[in-house]
This record gives sequence, C-alpha cells and structure tokens, in this order.
Amino acid sequence: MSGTKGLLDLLTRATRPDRTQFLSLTCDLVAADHCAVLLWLWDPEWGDLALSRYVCRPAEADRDGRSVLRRRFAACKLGKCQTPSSDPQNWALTLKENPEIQDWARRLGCEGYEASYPLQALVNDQPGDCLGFLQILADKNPSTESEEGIRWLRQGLAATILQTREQRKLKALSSLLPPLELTVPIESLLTKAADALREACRAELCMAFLQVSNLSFKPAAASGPFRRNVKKLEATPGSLIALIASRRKLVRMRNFGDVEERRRLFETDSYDAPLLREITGELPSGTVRSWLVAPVVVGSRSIAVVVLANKLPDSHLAEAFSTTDEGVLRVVCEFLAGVIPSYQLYDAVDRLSGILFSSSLEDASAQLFGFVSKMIPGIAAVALIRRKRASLETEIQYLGGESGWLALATLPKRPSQKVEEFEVDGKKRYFYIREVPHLEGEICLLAVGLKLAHLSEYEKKLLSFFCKELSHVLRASHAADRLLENFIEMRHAVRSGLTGVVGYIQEALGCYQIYRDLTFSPSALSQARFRKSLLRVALFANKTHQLLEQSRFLLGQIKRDSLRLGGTSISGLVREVVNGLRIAAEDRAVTVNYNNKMPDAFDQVSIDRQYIEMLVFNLVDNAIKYSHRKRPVSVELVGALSEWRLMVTDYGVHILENDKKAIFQLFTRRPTGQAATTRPGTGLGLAVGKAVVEAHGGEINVDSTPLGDGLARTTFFVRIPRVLSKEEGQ
Amino acid sequence: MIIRRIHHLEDEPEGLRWIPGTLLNYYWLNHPQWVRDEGEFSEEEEGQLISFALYAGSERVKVEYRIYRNKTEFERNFLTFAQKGDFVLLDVLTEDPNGGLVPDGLDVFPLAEKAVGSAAIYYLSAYTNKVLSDPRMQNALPEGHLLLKPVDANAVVQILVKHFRLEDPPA
Repeated sequence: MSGTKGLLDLLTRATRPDRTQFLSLTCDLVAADHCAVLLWLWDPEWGDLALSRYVCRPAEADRDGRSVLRRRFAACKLGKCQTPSSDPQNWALTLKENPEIQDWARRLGCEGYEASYPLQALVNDQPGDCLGFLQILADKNPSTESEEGIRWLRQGLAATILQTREQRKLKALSSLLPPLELTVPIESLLTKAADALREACRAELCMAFLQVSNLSFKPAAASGPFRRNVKKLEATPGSLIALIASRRKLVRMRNFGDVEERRRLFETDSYDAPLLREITGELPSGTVRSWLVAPVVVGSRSIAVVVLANKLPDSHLAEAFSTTDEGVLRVVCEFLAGVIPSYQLYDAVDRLSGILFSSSLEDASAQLFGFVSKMIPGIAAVALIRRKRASLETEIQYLGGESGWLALATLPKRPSQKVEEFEVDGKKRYFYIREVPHLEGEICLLAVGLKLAHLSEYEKKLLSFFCKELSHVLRASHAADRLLENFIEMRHAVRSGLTGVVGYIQEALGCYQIYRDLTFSPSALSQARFRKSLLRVALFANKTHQLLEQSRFLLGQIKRDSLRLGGTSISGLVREVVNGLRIAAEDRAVTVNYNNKMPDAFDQVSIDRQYIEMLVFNLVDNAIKYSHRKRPVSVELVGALSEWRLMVTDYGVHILENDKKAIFQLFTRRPTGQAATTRPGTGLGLAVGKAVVEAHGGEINVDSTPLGDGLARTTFFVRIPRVLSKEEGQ
Repeated sequence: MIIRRIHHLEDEPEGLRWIPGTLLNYYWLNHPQWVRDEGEFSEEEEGQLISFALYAGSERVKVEYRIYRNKTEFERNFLTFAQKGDFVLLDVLTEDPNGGLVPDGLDVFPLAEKAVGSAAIYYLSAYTNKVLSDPRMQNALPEGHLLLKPVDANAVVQILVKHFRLEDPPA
C-alpha cells in the first residue's frame, strides 16, 4: 500500500485515528526498507521532551532498542539534549548525534536519513504552540510526494494529540458523573475521583484530603496499593498539604528529595516531614519521584487537596507528570469544587437534623458550634441574639466559642450583608450577623465571631442554610411550647368548668338544707338564688361537656363521612342552646334575643345534632362572652327550602379585618389588645365550628363593624343546606 | 358595723360566684339567728361585688366578695378596698390581652401580703406547680395555702369561717 493511499484510507475510514496509526502511516509514506518514526512530546512546564512512542519498519525494535530509548529519554530529563529555541519554526532535533541513538539506528538499518518536524495544531487557522516533534530515521531519503503526505500527517497528528488530551479530561470527568449521589458519603465521591485520576494520569498513588478545620486536613480517599494505610494520615497546619491549600494553586515537584527544589517552591522547609515520610512509605516503590498536588478551591478557601504521586513508567516514557496530567487534575478539582459544597450541604442537613431533633437547642449548643466551626474554619464564637417582638426583651444565647468573644452582647442587633469590624474590649473583632428567618413573635439573629475579616459566598450560603435549619427548629420549639400552652389552657378550662359545677352544686345543696332543716318558706330572693345555682350547675356542666366534645376534634378531623345525620328541628335546637346560656348572659348583664323566622315547613333539617349544637353553643357563648355589659345579643334563624341560616350578633369587641380568617384557626383567639375586654377561652370553638359547618356543606363568615367608643357590632353568619347531598361536605 | 372582705383575683369569676352564697348558707345553717331577710344577698358594681349581711350578736356584719378580673384591675383597685383582716384569694394564671395565660397571680402576692399578711392569702388554681416552683413563693406562702381547682366548696368555706372568726366568743 502506498503512503498516499494509506493516508486516504486513514482520512476516509478511520474516524478517530490514534497516534500509533499516524506513526505507522508515516513509516509507510517514507517507503524505505528500514525506517523508524519517533514521537517526542514537548512539555513547556518542565522544559523538556518526553518520548511518547515510536514505530519501526520492517522489524520492531528489540529489547535493547527499547532500553536505549529509555536511556535516551532519561538523558533528555537530565538536560543533556538540545532543548528547542523559543521559535518553534527553528526547532530541530539532532538526536542521532547521540552515540546511543546512532547505535540504535545503525542496528535497525536506518542510519542514512534523519529529519525532525515540529508538531503544531492549527488554532483558528494559525499555528498554535509546539506540541512536540516527529522524528524520522530511514535508510534513504523519502520522495517529494511523501514529504507532502508527511506534512498532512503532522497536522493530523498534532490535532489528534490535542484531542487526546481533551479526551483524557473528559474521560476522567465522565467516570465521576454517573451517578452523583448526594446521599452517599463524600468520601465515596473522592474515592471515585482518586481512581479516575490515578487511571487518567497513570499515577502510582492518588490521595484526597478533606479540610476538617482551618488548614487541617484528614485523608478522605486514596487509590493505589496500600491505600488502606493512607487513611491513618493526618495533615496538620504547616504540612505540605496545608501549605498548598493556603496557596490555593497547583504545585508540581519532580523530586521530593531535592531540598533546593522544595525551598524554591515553598520558601520554607517547615512542612510536615513525618507526613511525607509516611506517604513515601506507602508507595510500593518506597520512594517519591514526582508529585502533583492541587487544591479544591471554593471561593477563597481550599476545601480539599488532591495528591498524585509518582508517574507510572508505562507506554508513556515520561517520569514526571505532564502538562496534560495537570490539566486533568485541574478539571477534576474544579469539578469537585462544584460538587463538594452540595455534598457538604446535604451532609449538613443530615447532621443538623440529627443534632437539633435529638435534643433541645440548649442541649445541642456545643454540637452546633462544633458543626459550624467545622464547616467554616476560622469561627471564634457563635451566638443567637433573640428579641421578642412584643416586649423587645433581648436574650443572648451562646452556642459556643472562645470566652474572650463573649462581648457579643454589645453587638448591634441587626443583620449585616458582609463581615463587619467592631472594637470590643479594645480589640478588633470581626462579625457576621444573619437573621434566622420566618419566626413569629421574635427576631432571632445568628452572630458569628470570626478570626478573619472575610467570608466567601459559599460560607455565607452555608450560614444562610444553617439559619434556615435553625428556623425550623425554633419554629418547632415554638409550636411545641404552644401545644403545651394549649394543653394547659384546655386543662385550665376543664378544671374551671368543674370548679363551677362542684361549687354551684354545693351552693344549691346548702340552700336545700336550709329550706329542709329550718323549715321555712323561702322568699322570692332565696328561691331565685337557689334557681340560679341550679342553672349555673347546668351551664358549667354543659360548658365542660362542650369543651370535651370540642377536644375530640384534636383527635381527628370532622368530615362528611363522620357525621351522624338525622332529621332535627333546628329552631328547637337553637332555642334549647339559647335558654341554656341565659344564666351566663344574666351574669354578664347581657340580654339574648332569639328571633326565630324559620318557616315551620322547613324546620326539619338534616344535621348531626351533636355537632350543630356545639356550633350554636360556641357562637352564642362567644357572643355573650365578648359582648359589652348591658348590650343585647341577637340570635336570628331564617330558612328556605334549600338552606337554613343562623346569624348571631353581639355588640362588643371589634374583630380586625386581618383577624377574620385567623379566628377560625385552631388555638387562635380574638386578640383584642384590651385587657378589659379579653375573655377566657381555648381557641378551639370557632375552629371546630368551621369544621362542623364545612362538613355539612355550608359556610361560616364574620362581619365586624366598629361603632365608636370601643364598641363594634359583630355578626357571625352560618349557612347550611337543609338536606345534605352526597357531594356536599366532602 | 363590721365588714369582712374577700378579695378574689380570678379571670373566670363566673365559675366561682358560689363562694359568697355557700358562705352565707354555712352561717345560715349554723347560726339561723344571724340571718335576717334571708341574708340580704345582693350583687353590685356590675356583678363585681357580692355581699350579704349577718347579725352576729349585737353586731351587724357585712361580708363582701369582690372580684378582680386581672392583674391590672387588682393593682389599681385592691388597695382602695383592702384592710387588715381581709381575706385574699388569688388565681395563678390570668388571661393575657393577646390570648394565652400569664402567671400574673404570682406578681401581685407582695401587694396583697403588704395589705393583709401572708396568713390571709390563699391561692386557688389549677396550676399548683407554678406556685410551688416560684422562688418568690417558697418561703412567703404559708403551708397549705394552695387550693387546687376543682376545689371542695366546703373546704373554702371552712377556711373563710376560720379566718373571719365570727363564731368566736367576744373578748
């Protein structure tokens, strides 16, 4: 096959030719009996050449030939060969001048011709950086036609080199993507990354360290022999890992044993020698030849450090990690920098939930401080500044930190958009203050004392997240307090009701004993007192009963399916309730007027009698309770074929527009803001009443009109279908 | 005329209006001669003041039961009416203007103590723990001066009778 035909075949059939194919094709193009083509790659960072691969024709180089090339490669590393000039067009290799290469070429029979060609890919139709050289050794000069073909092949080879480099990055990244599981520990992701990097960069060992506190790292993953032992390592502040993390840039080293190189790179030799010895001891070769170390940088902070140790002597003959290896490491670190915060946030959710829901905020303070200071190194103290909205009473709740920062109490009580500097006890202090959102009844600020005057956006987001989690906990705590309070109020209401029942029974009993033992005819006054006592017994017994019935609502919702429907005279039911409450009205000097406009023909309605009685009782009892003294309460019942309506009106406390919905919520009462007009209650009645009305397919509304002098006319409207259809009340 | 007063801080007085009636019944049953016109039982000041009259020997005794619905009302009016020898009943929790219950009853103890002495003060509450756990109460409130709701009406009457000492022979 001629060289040209081979070139055409390659261009038409091979979609992704590799470097070896290009070298073989070049051999074919030269069309000499004895020919060797060598690909040298130029590494501008190291300033040397590395022999990537070679192809010989007709026979492969023998074992000696390979070893000679290795030695030649080593010679390049030691700077014994000519390095290219700054102008790639003038570059030339004269490797054949080296006695070992000469000997090698002679044994292969390709000593008659030598040529070297720089490899440059076209970037935007312009020659880019020099990627390396194509060297041809042959027994005779190639033809002019072959020269033209070789020119095309050089371009193709250069493009392939660039493409291969990019593919290495993509390959390393693609192995990390599926599946990205935030639920698994971050160490799993780092282990995958270490495996991918070790494979892509042909490293002997790859390790990943995660930051645990300020410039202190723990090994989170390792790939390579003896990786289990690597887990016991720690990188303390001052170690090589910490130094690289603080510099936030990639560092390469060819030889750790070279003290001068270390000093040049770090300008210090204080890094952790024991750590280095331990890592060196983990390597199968027992020595460290080359290192590539890169930090995973988020914002201004290195949250992890990845270490590649020793390039494996494989098909690629380089001993140090190449620029391409660095590129692969960089993109993987950038990928990790994008992903690790999500893992940390997920982990934060998990840990915070564990901390906060297993104990009270007070009990969990130390753990919370440990959590925050671990997530954001450099935190000196954390506190919550809590201020009640109503009383403006402020409380400082310390979660932890250094005692010298306790002057947090003197901080301004407002959130800050950035880290602010304050003078506390004559010392400069840095603080970041953020609001814990969505709290009712209090303003809560998270105050973070910092050793540094900077927080990255990522760290601010972490604190924002922390505040949101705290918000959940504080709200839950408020809700628990509220539930306890509601329980206490329920208990209070039941006990008060029983106190009334027991007390009035004894008063009535006393009256009876007087009439019996003293055998006299009581006057109207005494009879009235006796009658009142009995009515009050009935009233308080009924109140307690209604309260206990209402409390059933807490055990389950009132739904259409749970109604026990039956035909009931609604006017009779309302009358019974009103009469039962007359004594309560009398005690408050309130008159209750019942206006029954319900036509007899429609008086029978389909209702759950027990629930509707509870509803009417609540509405009329509330009207009496919230009415001003000596004012009327009117109860009006109207109806038609399709529905019946009840209006209960009192003249008393005004219900603000904003409260009209709230009063139908569980445990919400009419906040009057005037002590003189508040009345005891549990906050159950209207919520239960609304549920009862809706289960019957009806609706309940309220209208409250201020009339001046603190007086308002308030009417509750109830509308319920007379006969409940199947669809209604669902 | 001798006046015996009961001052009662209670946010739900409707459930405790039996106190004066039961006390009257006690005296009526045990000293029928003390009661004329069936006790002259009356309610004044929009139900805030209930009173009845007794004739213990030659003395006319007026027993007054005065209600205070909250701490503010108590602090404003108590000293106007209170005198040595009066009896004070305090509830622990009273209604907050914004809903919710607040332990106001504990706050007014010093005021009541100054006027009538701790021996004449009783707490009548559903929340004995609030009283027992309050450091202000631990040494100030005499033992047994804490009555739990629902209370035995006869026990309350016995305490009142003992305090008023109307049955004691004249000195």
